[in-house]
Amino acid sequence: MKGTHYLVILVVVLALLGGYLVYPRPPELALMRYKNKQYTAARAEYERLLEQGISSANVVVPLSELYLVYGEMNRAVELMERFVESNPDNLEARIYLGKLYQQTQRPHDYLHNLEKRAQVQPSEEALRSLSQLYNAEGRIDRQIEVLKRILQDYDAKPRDYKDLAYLLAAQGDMVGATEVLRRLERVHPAAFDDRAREFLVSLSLDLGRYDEAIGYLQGYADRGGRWTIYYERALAGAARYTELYAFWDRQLARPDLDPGRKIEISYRYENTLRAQGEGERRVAFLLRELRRKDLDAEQRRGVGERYEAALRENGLTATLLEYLGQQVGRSDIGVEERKAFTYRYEALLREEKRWPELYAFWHLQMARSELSDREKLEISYRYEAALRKAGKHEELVAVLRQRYRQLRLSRKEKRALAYSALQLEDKVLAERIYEDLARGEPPDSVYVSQLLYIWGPRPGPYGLQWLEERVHGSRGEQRLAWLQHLLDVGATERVLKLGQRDLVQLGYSGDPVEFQMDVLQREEDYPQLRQILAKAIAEAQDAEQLRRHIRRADQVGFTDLAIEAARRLLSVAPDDPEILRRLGLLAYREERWEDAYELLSRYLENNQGDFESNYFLAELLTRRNRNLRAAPHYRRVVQLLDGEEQMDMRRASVRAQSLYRLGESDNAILAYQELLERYPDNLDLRADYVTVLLESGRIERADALLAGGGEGGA
Amino acid sequence: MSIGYRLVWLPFWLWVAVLLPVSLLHAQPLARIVLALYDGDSASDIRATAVHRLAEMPLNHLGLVVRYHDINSPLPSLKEMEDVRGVLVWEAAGMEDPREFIRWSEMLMDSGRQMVMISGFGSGEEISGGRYKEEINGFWKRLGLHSESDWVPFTYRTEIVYRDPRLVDFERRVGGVLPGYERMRVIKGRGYSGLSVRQRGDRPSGTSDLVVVTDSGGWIASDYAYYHNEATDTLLWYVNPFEFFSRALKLDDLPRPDTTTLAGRRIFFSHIDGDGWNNFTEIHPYRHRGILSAEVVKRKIIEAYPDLPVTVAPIAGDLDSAWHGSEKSMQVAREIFALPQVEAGVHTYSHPFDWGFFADGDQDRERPFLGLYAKPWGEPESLLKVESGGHDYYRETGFEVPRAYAVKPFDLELETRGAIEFVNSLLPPGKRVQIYQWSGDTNPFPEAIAAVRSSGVRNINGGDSRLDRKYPSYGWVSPLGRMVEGELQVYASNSNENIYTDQWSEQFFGYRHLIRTLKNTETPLRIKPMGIYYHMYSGEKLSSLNAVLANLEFARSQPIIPVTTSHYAAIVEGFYSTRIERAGELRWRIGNRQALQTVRFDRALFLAVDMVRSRGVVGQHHYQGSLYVALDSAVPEAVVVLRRREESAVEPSASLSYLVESAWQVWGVRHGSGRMWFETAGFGEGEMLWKVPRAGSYVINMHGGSGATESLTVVVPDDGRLRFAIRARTPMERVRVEVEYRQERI
Repeated sequence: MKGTHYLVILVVVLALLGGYLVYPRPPELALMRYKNKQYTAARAEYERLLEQGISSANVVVPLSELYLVYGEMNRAVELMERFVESNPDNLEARIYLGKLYQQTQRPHDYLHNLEKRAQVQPSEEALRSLSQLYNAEGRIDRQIEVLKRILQDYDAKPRDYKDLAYLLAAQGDMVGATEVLRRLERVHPAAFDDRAREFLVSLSLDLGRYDEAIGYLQGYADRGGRWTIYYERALAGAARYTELYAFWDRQLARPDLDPGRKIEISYRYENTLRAQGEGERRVAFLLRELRRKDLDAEQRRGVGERYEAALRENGLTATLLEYLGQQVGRSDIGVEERKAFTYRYEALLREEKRWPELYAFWHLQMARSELSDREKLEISYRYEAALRKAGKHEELVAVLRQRYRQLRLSRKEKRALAYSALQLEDKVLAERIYEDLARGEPPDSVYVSQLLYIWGPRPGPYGLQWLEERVHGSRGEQRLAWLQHLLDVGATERVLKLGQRDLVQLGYSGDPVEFQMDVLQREEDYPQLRQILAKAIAEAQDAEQLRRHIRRADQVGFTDLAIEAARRLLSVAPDDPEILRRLGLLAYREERWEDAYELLSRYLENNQGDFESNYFLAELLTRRNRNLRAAPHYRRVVQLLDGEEQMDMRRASVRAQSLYRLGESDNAILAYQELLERYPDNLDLRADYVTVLLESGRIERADALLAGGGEGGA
Repeated sequence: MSIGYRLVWLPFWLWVAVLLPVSLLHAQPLARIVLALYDGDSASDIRATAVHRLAEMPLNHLGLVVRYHDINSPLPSLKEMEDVRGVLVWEAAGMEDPREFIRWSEMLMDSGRQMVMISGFGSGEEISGGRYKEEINGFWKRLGLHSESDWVPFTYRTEIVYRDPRLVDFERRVGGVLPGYERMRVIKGRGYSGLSVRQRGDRPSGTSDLVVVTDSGGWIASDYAYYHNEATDTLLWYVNPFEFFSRALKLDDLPRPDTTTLAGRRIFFSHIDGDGWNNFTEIHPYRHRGILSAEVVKRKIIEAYPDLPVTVAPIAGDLDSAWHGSEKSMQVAREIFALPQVEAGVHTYSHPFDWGFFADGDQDRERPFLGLYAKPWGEPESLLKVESGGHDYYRETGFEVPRAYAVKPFDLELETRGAIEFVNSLLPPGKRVQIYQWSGDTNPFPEAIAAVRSSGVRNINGGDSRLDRKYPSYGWVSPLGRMVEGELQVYASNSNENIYTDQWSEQFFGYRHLIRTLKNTETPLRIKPMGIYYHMYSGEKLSSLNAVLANLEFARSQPIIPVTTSHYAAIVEGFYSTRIERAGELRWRIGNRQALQTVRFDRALFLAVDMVRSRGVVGQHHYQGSLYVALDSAVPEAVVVLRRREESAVEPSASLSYLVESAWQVWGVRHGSGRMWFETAGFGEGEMLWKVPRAGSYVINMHGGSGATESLTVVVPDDGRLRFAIRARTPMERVRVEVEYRQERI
């Protein structure tokens, strides 16, 4: 073999060897296809390798990516999960799996994988991610664990400390939270900001670590707002009251502090003093506050009330009285405020039962020129009430008279005062008030009535003159009403003097005699009236006069005078039906049968008449046996009585008798029977009934009735 | 005049005296505005405010529109607030002198409007030693609270003495290290506390109420509304915002205009931003073949789902060959737009990242950045010093440059109308750009929104809602949009894949997680429609392509009603414009609603639509305790009349046929004797479920655009459920349907 041959063989061997060496192995072939976007072929290649048991990262990772290309997300994930399970320490694979979880939207798996990753190879980055994920999931306990690890093992950031502190506090571990914050202050002093400080202070206070809180508040207490409150709470909690008072004193002395803030401090200051039983100090403090120049009126009032309360609670009554007395006397305050002080001053005097002082106070108040009438009136009322309660009658009368004399009162107040005066039997004051009230009032005014009541039925000359003046000063209806008042009090003479026309308008006759009789009648002076009336009848000239006299005689029961007047009238007006009827009935009753017959006949000749006149005439005709003429009158009687709603015994009896006269015996008996049932003890009725029974032939029943038995039936 | 004649007029006078004032009263629309006061000094953009981030979505869900007002400007008069139901003040009352605000608030409460405060007038020292204490306490008193003017800074001694699970412990239980709080109590008889705390050892009188609803509004103590952990990006509501706002603003009487539902089904829409259009795909078998990502999206996604509409919005600069486009990129666009289920949108011209940068119109501001652009519009005068993305602008905004392309100086007209016209030039006959999709920070200035509106197209994007395991809170779900200076920016209902892939930097499969958000925004409350929103660069990688496909498969598996993106935007616009009038007991007039065709009644298990007395109502659907009422788009002013019912487990009986749910839109419903007519259109197959009065045979005649009539017979069982499907046709082809009752079932 030639050298050439060897050379050829060598080249061939080298070529074969080279070809073998550069020929891609299956994983490389798959990768080439993958890189060349020949996904289907690449996938088949990788899957074949996997089936052959080649499950290295070089196979698994691209294959899972290929699965994603085809949207087979679960397959991609499962493949990687299996790989990671077989290679638990392969951090890169776990990181890739985490990315897969994110890309396939499996947040819980991602978190779980991250937890595993942090176990396999803890890192600050992984823990920090875990912390945030736990936060997002609301798993506080886990986040706390992670943050603690970060603080322990890594260069934790201020945010980590703060987050941990908040979380621990939210879990109730306030001690742990304070420790974390203190550590933050040590490690990152620049990041220990106001909020962190405030948080630490708040926690310290809630833990009762007041001194610690005070330490953290150095330089902050003066800032106001919550800082000041924290500082005060801390000092109070630590029972460092001397410092606390000193702090407040400093605050209150600050010219730059808003008065409103100072008031708030002052409240807290006072409350603390009270709680600590520092009564005297509290009073002194409030007095000092009260003297502050920068208070406005409202604030001063508030402090003053607190001062009063302090004095009261500490039993410093004398000082309180003195203080209130001073306030009442102030002229630089408004009405309402003065009133309020006055009430409290009075109340205190009352509580202390210092009545003379109280009366003297009121007396003095009534004399104060700067007080308005309203204020004085209220005082006067209270004064009155107190005196009334104490039964001080004379002083009371004096107070009421003083009230009327000194104050401008409304009509209502005057009326009330007059009523009080009447109760106290101070008629003088009452009369003055009512006269005052009645002035200018109309005659029907209640005040005029009251005045007339006080004056009584026969007022003195002053009263009569007062009324006469009202008559003079008025016209029309009012004048008449005033005249009526005069008449009512018996001032007839005065009234007559005032004129006849007025009398007519008052409804009296213009005739002085008539007027005189009216007055006498009203006054019920009957003897005098009878005398004048008899004379008037005798002298009467016309029918109208006589009619009036008849009416008056009827009204007062002078029957004889009425008859006399009627007779005179009959001579003047012989056909007057009313007079005919009246005299006819009268004659019948007086059994002057002829007169009665004549008068009633004339009367019923032209009039229907009433049941009585018809009955009487019918009876007179029956007596004369003129039954036929009597019958229409009886019928008329029955007709009239049947039309009446109310049927008394007399009417019923007349009706029964009329029926009997008309021959209606059964109806008459029935009527009597009913009557007797209603009036069983009326003997006249029983007699009439018996007569009817006898005359109608009902002897047995009449006998039974006479024997005192009852009705036995028809 | 005889009595009889006068009696003839009695009804008239009765109407004048009684019914006219009542009818006028009822003519007042129900107030739907919540005036949100924010502190413009600390939040120049309302997007940064707590109200926008957290409260506005629940308020929208409850049917309310939020109007923002900077508390530093003069407060509006009562006359200007006629449509305002209440005021919400969140982290805005820490003002130097609150007296004017307090006077205004008291006037407002006296006028019957509700006042909701979240946090107070300050904290700590500001409370206990603050000025205007008397006025502030007066404010609280008017609201129904008694303030102790005291602040509890450390809560390690605080224990919770009462918690109402209806109001608190919503997404996170109140506990752990409690925040400091202002000592406040509800005035007896004025309100109700859902969370009360007390310092251990204190008397009951020392209780503080921290979550409160009163007769005049409500209050949540500072930091007690939600939990936030910045390190883990965790945000969770303590308070149930739906319940709290509903009670504090007294919303029981308000029907909720609903943007999630149409024809009884959850709305589906999808849109694509053009970013990455020209990227070469790396997906086999297209890799290394010069295939654009947009082509992959077209083939693998759009063409694969002809039943699901999608709005495609290219960046004009990506297509325009004078910028960064090519004939090929334009050709792909033409092919995509030719597909019938594709709606045309536009995603700007130059793709601004930072819209605010261009708000003042100063083009020269961009000069320092010109050196960083591939084709700058001018000569870079001085290059910005860039050290691996480390210049000040980047640190401030996160953007290297203010926009993607700068071939021309920024021009709002070109950016809006110019981009629309450019894309219009690529569209087949009959198609026009319908929507403008905001780019970058999706924070357009008012003039930009106005420019889009005046171009005749709607707008969308922004919001970035998430509700999944990573962001498990309603706090991450955005409101419907952003109203700025009277211009409305409609937010996308969900985040796109850019968010799920950490700005397209990793986990490209991540967009799959959208499904969780889609599920969580459906149950227990349907708070968002189903939106699938992505970029053309999803066609670049297999992972992202698979993710989009998975989402679309999920959508397809759900009972949805697919609509175009511009249709959804129109529905949102309708939400803002809807006018609701109370027309009597359980009776409302719903007008001015544009494309919004659903009103919702919450806690409505025992309520049903009185179909006979209602007008313009297509159907009803009870779902998750709410009653979704489908309105007829052919009736501009609908009247919804409800009735009470005894049973909640079954669908309400139908004296008149009504729609329960449909995959297609339904309108123009008419009822006759044993017959019913309506019109319908949609995407894919038009399956629908009706409730009819009688069991038996029903013949359904369908007249499509071709003129041919198709018929089918359906036997309805005793439950009265008439279910049928209209075969898929050209998307949105109008079909007239006649349903005829033929015979009773034996």
